Amino acid sequence: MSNEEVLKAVFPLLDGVDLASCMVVCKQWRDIAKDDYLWKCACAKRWPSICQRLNPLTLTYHKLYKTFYKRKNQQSLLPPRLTLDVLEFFIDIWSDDKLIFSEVVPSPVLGGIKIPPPELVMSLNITSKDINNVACIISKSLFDYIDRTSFRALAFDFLNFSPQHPFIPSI
Amino acid sequence: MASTDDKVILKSSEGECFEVDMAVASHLQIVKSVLEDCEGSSDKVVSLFIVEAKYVAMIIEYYKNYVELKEKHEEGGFEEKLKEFEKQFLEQIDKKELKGLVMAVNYLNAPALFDVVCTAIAKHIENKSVEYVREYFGIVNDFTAEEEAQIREEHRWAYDGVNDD
Repeated sequence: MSNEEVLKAVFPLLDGVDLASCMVVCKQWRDIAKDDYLWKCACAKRWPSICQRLNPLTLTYHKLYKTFYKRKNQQSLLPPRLTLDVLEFFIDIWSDDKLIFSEVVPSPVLGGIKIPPPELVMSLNITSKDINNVACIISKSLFDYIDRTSFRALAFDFLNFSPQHPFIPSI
Repeated sequence: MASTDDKVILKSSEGECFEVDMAVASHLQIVKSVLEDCEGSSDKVVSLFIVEAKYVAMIIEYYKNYVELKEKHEEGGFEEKLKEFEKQFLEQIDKKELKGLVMAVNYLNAPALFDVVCTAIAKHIENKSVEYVREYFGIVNDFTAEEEAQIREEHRWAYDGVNDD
């Protein structure tokens, strides 16, 4: 199959991982799959609120996807160099695979959100207004229940991620 | 009953003719525009030069059901019924036919069916190895060994947990 039109209709349906394998198939597929529009679609599926952002990103969606996706490697901890009041929270909350909340929330409002039990899947991406970068704090993590311990676990997730975090200028 | 005015004849690449209700054929944009171009002419035959008869039959089957379901479920529930039918419809199409069908549907410019077929094709790419995708789509790898190694390295992050088939 060599029809470009068909590929351009099929690729937006794919997840970023599959799009990445498509780039290895042949030159034609690579050239079509590297279009950042497709990576925006892939990002939008995984982190819907990212596309609500008004000012354009300084990095490509391709890079963004890759950075967020491979965040599993653990590294030693650095203290986060952030204060709450400069942050915007991009919050997507799923329940039973359905997107029930997708918003950009400035930090002072976040305290007012009550997370309803029992089962939630949550992604949290943070952008810093002053340096125009985005970080993925939680990617579709499942919470079975919410209590003080898991809030601590959440904070730990953040700390764990901070070394790879695009906010830190050395990365 | 529909009069012959409401019928159109679609001719496959082999020359096989299919008589189809206008309500069905009008979903194929290419047929619609051909007919508009020769409005007033009594000749209601449209040649679909590159489309084989078996694909013409599949496309007609899909839109026949589409039109019927839409009439039957005007009050609501159309979308669910259509989804049910689409599932059955795709089950009887094998992998090879799916590729032929997507090209035919793209040529005929039939948006609803195009979406259905593209989704089915995307399923053949999801979570599959590069080798499987090449084989399935009959693609010759035109990267040099070095180029391929380099691009694989760049996308190594994506390869964990991919099926071989």
